[in-house]
Amino acid sequence: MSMSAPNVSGSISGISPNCDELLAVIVSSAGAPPDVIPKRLLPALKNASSQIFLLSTSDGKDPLTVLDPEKNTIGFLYFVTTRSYIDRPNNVPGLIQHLVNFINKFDPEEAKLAIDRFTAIPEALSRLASGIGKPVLAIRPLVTAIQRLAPTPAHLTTLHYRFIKICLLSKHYKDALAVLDNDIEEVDPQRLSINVEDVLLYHYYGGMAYIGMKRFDRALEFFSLVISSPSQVTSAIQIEAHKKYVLVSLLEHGKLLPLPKYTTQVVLRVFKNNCGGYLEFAQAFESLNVTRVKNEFAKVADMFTKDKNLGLARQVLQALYCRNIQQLTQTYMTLSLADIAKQVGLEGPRAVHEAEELVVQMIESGQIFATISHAHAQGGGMVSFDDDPDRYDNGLTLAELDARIQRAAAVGERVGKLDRGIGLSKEFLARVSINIPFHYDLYVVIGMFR
Amino acid sequence: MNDNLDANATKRKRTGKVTVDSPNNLDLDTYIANYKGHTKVDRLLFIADRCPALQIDAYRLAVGELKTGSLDSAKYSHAVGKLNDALIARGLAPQSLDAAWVEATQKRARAQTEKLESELKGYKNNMIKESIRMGHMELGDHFYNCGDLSNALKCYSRTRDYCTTAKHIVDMCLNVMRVSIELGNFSHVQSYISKAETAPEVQDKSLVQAKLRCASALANLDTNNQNKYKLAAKMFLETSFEITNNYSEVISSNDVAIYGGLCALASFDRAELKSKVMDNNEFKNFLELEPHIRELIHSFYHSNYKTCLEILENSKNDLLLDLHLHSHVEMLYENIRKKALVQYFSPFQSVDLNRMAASFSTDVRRLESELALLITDNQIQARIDSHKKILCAKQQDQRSHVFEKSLTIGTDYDKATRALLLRFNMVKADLVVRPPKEI
Amino acid sequence: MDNLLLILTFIASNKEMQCVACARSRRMTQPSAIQTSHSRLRLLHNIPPEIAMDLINEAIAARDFKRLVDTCEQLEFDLSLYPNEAMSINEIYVPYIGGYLILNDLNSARFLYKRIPPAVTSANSELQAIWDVGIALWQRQHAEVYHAIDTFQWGSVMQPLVLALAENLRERAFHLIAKAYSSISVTEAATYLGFSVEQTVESLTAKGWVLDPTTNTLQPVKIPKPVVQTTNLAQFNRLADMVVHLEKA
Repeated sequence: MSMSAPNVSGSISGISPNCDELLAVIVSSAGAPPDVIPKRLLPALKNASSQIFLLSTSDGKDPLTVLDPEKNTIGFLYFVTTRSYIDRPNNVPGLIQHLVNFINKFDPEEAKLAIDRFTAIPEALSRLASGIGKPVLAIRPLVTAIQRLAPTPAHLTTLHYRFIKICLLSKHYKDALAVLDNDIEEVDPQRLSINVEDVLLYHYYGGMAYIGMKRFDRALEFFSLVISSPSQVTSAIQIEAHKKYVLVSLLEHGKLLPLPKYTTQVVLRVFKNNCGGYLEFAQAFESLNVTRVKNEFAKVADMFTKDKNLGLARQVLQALYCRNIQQLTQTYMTLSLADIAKQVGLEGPRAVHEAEELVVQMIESGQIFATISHAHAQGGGMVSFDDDPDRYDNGLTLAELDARIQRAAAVGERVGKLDRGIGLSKEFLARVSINIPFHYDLYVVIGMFR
Repeated sequence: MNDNLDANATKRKRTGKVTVDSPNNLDLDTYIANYKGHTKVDRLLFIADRCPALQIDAYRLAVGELKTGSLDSAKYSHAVGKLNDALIARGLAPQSLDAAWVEATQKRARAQTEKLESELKGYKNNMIKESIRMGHMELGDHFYNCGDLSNALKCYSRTRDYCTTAKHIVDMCLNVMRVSIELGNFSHVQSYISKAETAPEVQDKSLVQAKLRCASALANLDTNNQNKYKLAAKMFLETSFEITNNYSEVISSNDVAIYGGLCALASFDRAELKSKVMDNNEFKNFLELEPHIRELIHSFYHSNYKTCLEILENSKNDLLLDLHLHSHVEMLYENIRKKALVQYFSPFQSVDLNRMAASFSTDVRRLESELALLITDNQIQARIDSHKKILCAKQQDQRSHVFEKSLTIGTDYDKATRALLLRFNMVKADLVVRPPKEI
Repeated sequence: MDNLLLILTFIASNKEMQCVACARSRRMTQPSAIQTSHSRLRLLHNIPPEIAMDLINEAIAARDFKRLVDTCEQLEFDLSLYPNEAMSINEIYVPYIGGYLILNDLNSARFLYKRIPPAVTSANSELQAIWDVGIALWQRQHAEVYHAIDTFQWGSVMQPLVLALAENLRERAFHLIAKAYSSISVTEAATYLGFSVEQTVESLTAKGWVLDPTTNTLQPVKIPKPVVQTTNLAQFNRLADMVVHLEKA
């Protein structure tokens, strides 16, 4: 939705053009029968030249104070967005306050009739906020906007990916969680005017946000969704997501997790042909051989830099040592720090010290269970690896299990509802009744869908 | 591993070929007496190529064999050339090439070829199946004698259409197999083995069976199959003793004993070792020819690892000089050693690494690395206490394992189903990544 | 349950299948809100700037650092939206970062620092000082952290906060050593706790740790994890529900 800056020629003197007419149309549409808006209001607004939205009323009042964001949602929307998009908006803080006010009060049903225009809000807010050097201002209002516009937290809107992008650019990762932690399941292109890019970009930016917050498990989930989206061809977004997917998978699991079975082959093939370096790096990592990984890294460092993944790749390299140590816990019961340093590939005069630091870090984060003893001084100290002390026999485990079962049951419920919904739909019954007159058999159903 | 290998030092050449300074127990004459035909010459050349100590004798024997037995003048010249290189290198007088013999043989060969070919043409005109078959076979034999293996193979293969009895089919298969083994084309061998096996009853069935088993085993050794040693061992162990001296153009009974024994040791578990090898009466006959292999298997079974490893070490050089086995020696030895380590530990809860190292003729450090590899490969369920130098068996806590697994499954199910729901809704709403529309 | 998944998988894995045509625009009933929904971020809930600093000080005094961070987050928004002569946003940055550091949310501290305009950072020495503490924490240099805290002249607002930060770090280090070591050299323990060697020995032996003079190490006393045991009838209820549900499917 690009808007060119209209020529605001001079002051409003002399003939004194005003927006009274437009205001009249807007106000009269409030509370009118539902078809008035699409038939009268929207065409009027669309055809009005952008200059009109910059004018005051005939008695010098600011239309934004005259109009009510709740009752005249669409009208207000057009005014406030047009004003935000010109090159040098007047009274930016005031505009921002109007926008914030609008977001708090607008009528979601009416807004849906002008979704295209509504989509301009994140950009508008972000421009204004950055313009006065306070990008933080865009964040919280947008969360509210999304929460009010979407019919349920599981619905995707056009605002979602724009919001996350703004969060990333202004480095407000934490605030993105309010939206990100709700899983998207519903997509309704007719009511909410979204397309497949919205889905892809939202999950891609979302994955990046999770990386920033070091929630790699969620990041992986999001990237996997992007890559395994239904596709006939490969989108560049999917390629970029795939690159990050490889690196995050190595970080979180130490190996490249396979993508879901229904991922389109084209996507996988294109990635393999164009970004083979990532896959080779992953293979080297899985061998846990430090020299090999470092060599591989040196070979593809340029590629990582170009893709802006160098930081992530460096984290992967760091994680290599941790993985090796975890491997050692499977093989040894006790091992000296010097041996650990050697086995894991740490070199240099501070190798033993580094090894100790790593081990302590991993104990702190719960990645391994071990105790270090300085009393056995040879080799820099002795590390004893223990088994997971969690006996899984207390209330905590029960609560955990309970929670997971609830979630699984809830998801199962939704799938069940979906299934029943399909079973009752006209199309389905029509097909079934053609072939088998009186009853249907589950396996026949599956066969039909092949 | 034992470092005192002065007498049997091995050098590795650039090409990856292993040269053996001197053999352990190999007596060239007795060894080579077990073979005849092409494999005799090939083995002699192989040994000569790899063992300086036996070089001269081997080449001489090869030259002699070629001159008396075959029409292969090219190979003869080649062998003489190599012999002379060796002699000169040692400052000895070279042997002269019998050029007259070469020329005469070439003439004879050509004449024979023409004769057989014209005879064959005649048979073809007469359309008598049996004669055509015999004609092809004789031509094949002749080419084989001249060392023209590819033509020999072609002729043998051509007899296929003219075979009328089971014996014919079997003969054809055996001929093709013989040539293919020499060519190293083992996939060919496999297909002809199956052909021979499906042929109906033949007179000396058990001998044929034995031959087929040996060939099959050799073919298995050549594959990249994970289980190749096991399969090869099974084949060798099922070979009947009748094969002695009846298949010496390919393999000798001593070979069956050695190959079979080693492959079995490297791949069978304890129960199989007992039932298929030690209680195998037929195979006992083979083992008698090679008592040290018998000794080897016994000592392994009775956990006498020191003896076992000693025997292995002491036989290594001879095995490296074997035409079919040399490329497998390292792998077999490694497998046997790994099996020994695993078997050693199996009855114990914890084992002192010092004792174990002594039994396996190694030091604790290297033993630790070996064990670490075995543990990572999941062949031993234990952990090493590097401080006290003990190997401790690992207890699997099933209960915790189950809990851990269930929690993971719960989350995975949740994630996977939600992803599917989203995908379902996307497909339903036609949100699919498509090529950009032409505007 | 499995059958339903089967159908779903088949449908989902066949792109242009009848299923697409099958479902028209049916109004799907709203799925039950199982997803966690964060509480709505407060919007337009202004904190009058006059009492802003008081709120911050209160939170620090009460050692409720979560409240401190929440207040600062809200203030960052409020003061940007409604700029005020009474108070500048720059005043909250130092306790804001301090709050994140105590909560061990180093990521958020890092992003906050990146957001602050460089002009503000270079002008404010206290801000630079607290950021140095943050860097030392990020790099796990315990000695550096204590040093940075001790050697700077903190303002009246920050003084209690950094003291609390040092204490918090000490506490965490204590727990970490107890968890990770069966015996730790005295010098190392001293680095972790920011004490001198004698102080360390004194305070740790007072807590029951044993000093071994031959190896000059201390043996920590393991801190047992509190076990939560709650078994009650409600669980039986749930168990019964679950079994019924499974039988149903």
